[in-house]
Amino acid sequence: MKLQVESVEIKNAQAGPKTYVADHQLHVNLPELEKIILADGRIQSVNLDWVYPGDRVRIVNVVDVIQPRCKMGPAEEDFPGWLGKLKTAGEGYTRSLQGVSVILSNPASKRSYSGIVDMYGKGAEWSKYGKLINLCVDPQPAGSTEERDFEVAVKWAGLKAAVYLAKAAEGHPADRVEVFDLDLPRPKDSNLPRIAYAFLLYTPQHDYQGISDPVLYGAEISQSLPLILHPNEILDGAILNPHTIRGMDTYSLQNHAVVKELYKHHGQELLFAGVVVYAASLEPVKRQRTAMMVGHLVKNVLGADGVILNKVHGGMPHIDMALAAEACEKQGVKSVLLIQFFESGTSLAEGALFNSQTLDAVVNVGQTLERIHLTRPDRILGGSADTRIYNPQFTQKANEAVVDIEGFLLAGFHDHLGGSKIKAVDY
Amino acid sequence: MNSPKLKVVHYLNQFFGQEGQEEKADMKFVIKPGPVGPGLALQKILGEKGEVVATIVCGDNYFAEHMEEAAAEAIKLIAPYKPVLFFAGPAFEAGRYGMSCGAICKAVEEKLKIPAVTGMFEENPGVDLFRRHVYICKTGRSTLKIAQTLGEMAALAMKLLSPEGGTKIVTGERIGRPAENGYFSRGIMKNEHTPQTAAARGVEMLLAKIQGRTFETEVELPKFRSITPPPAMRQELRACEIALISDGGLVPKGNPHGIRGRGNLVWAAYELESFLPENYSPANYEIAHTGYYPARVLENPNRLIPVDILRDLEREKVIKKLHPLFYSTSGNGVMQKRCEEMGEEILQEMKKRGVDGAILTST
Amino acid sequence: MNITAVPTVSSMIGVTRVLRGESVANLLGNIEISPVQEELLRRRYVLRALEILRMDLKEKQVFTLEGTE
Repeated sequence: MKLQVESVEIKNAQAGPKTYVADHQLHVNLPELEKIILADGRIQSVNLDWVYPGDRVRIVNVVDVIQPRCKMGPAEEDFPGWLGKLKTAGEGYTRSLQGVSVILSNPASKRSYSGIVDMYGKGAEWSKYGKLINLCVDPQPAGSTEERDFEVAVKWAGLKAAVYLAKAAEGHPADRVEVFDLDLPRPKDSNLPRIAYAFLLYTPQHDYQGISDPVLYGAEISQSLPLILHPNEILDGAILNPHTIRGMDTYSLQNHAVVKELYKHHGQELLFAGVVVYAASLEPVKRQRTAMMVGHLVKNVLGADGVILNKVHGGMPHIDMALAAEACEKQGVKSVLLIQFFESGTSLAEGALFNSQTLDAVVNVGQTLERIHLTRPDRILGGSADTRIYNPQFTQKANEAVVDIEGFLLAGFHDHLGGSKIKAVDY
Repeated sequence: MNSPKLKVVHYLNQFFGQEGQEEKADMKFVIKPGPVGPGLALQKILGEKGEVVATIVCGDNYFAEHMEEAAAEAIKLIAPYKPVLFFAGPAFEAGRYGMSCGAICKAVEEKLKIPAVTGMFEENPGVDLFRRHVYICKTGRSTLKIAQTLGEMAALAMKLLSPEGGTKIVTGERIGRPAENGYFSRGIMKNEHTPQTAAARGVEMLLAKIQGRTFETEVELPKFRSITPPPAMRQELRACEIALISDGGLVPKGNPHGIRGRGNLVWAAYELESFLPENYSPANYEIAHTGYYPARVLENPNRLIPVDILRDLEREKVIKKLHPLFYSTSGNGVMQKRCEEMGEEILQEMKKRGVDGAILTST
Repeated sequence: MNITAVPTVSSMIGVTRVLRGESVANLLGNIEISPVQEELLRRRYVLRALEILRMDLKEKQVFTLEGTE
């Protein structure tokens, strides 16, 4: 499969009577985009606001962050299985905008918590989104819309905005072209070690109302067994972040750090052998079955010599991932695991939750509950001054003089896909 | 440029403070101007950078017997000197001395908000009690190395005060790593900036592992002690009283004991007759545990604590009795040490009340 | 003894008598069967737990309803 991503660097963005990109300046006819979003009867109204680095703005109720992208050919589907019709993602030509993101809020969300993005101060310093020009998309539900249905409508609104912005750059020369060309290597293609990537993409333990969120081509995967994917499918919109930000979002998936790192070394120090995607299990037998199958797919179907594993937020999935890694190691496949840590009152060793001797190569992606203190904004989008910002000990509102949050709620700071430059250290 | 000398106060026990030995172990606080005893070595080490403006001394027993009041008293005596740095001991192996050094440093950090440094040998009980609150330099057993130890304590203290210390830390705090600065880890995790992404480090580590080159894991795996299985319940089931414990966070609505959904520290006992009657209502419960979706247990708490079945078995005389109290806690992201303590505390309660066997349900 | 849906953790830290349960979010229940069947299932678990409390063990063990892991 071959995917070509052509990126246009956007240096400034603003509202205007026509939508186009000229000279790296993005002009957007917001009423036109609004109309496209409001074609969905589940949405009553939508706020669209541009925010710039340095603005004293806090965006609350953030459920996802999406990079503007669209397919460039006819008969192509944007975000297939989501906005677009079902079609395998990861081939052809995709346009991407650098320097801009869509920040998606769901002000009607009743989930325990949502992310925030600050465009000023510490929040902006630590998060990659605080440094971009962002279009805030904030839809309100039409009266009769059911809660979960509205969550899907919100996601689609964000995707529509992402596609609309990317389409604006039609005709503008690309500043960067990345080619992801990979035919999953057959045995004896070369002597280079074959490396697979095993992605624990979902855990059902925090399911809101006990229902799993969709993540793959519009479907949820918590009931399914391990699957093999081509890495381009991850880069090109087959996988989207569920309806909560927890150290992962769609933008990070579109720029998946482990996938891109393996591509970087492909053909030189290693061969990228493919991707296995699986979910964590609440039931012990399903957990064992999944681990066994991941080990088998990695070893016998992808023919891997080594495997890199990571997981989404959650303590229980440490065990699911460790069992999958052990299943690989048992068959002679060497593993490296990426894990994150929680509570500050424990040591790294206490936080691992597994101790099999073969799992001797572990990378840590940071401590996601470390508290951050953020100062008061001048303006709030995606909610109001009264919007509650989650804290495990007390109630606080978006407009407090100082907001005290755990790191994983600051969108763009932590990245379970391995893209951030931090690690947790015992002190 | 001449920077002003840092004002330092030093704590010593009756022996090092040159007041006497065991016979003076009950002496109350005295505070003397300038350095005393080992404080002279400390002053020499600090040189022009710092001045030991006062030395506070008290007896090991006096402190050990009134820890809270003694700490408060000490603060009152220390504060007028307006120190920016505080040293205690070092205490090496001495247990009582270690406890008082730890307690006084903790109070100084909390109330005067200045760095407080002490030194202990790893077996000193003061280490476990105070390492999370105070910088405790690792020392050997022998007091002969006191000058060297004071040097290490002073070096750590200078790092704590210096703007260059700990700039790798994401939050910008100025702390040096325990491993590199010879102090006992404080049991916290901080995020540090790294030059490479985790993905890059991971791929590099994997290639090294495959090629048989050395690599350094970023996480040492935990080691646990082996426990010999305790003997089985001796009596027939029909003579046994069975208790229920759970770490799933099941509590009455309102969570009266403040059991936390994450990083919890407490447990509570609830009378099953009123807590989970046969005609229970789901509205009367909460789950103080953020690690799992709670609806199933809330619909029917017996799914977490099988009270319905044990009541049946008691009626059928399969067991003698279902213990009337349910011991509840929450086990999500809780420090190992606190878990062990809670287990021990619950065990004592159950033993007192004649429980023969316990079933602990976990999520 | 300990009933848990994540027996590897209990065993790792040294718990000696472990019985594997149904699910992390529904340890002694099952929403796919009728309430009557569910109660019978729970009864099987409790009887197994009591049986385990009466077993002398030389080393730690993870049990299932039917046998051992």
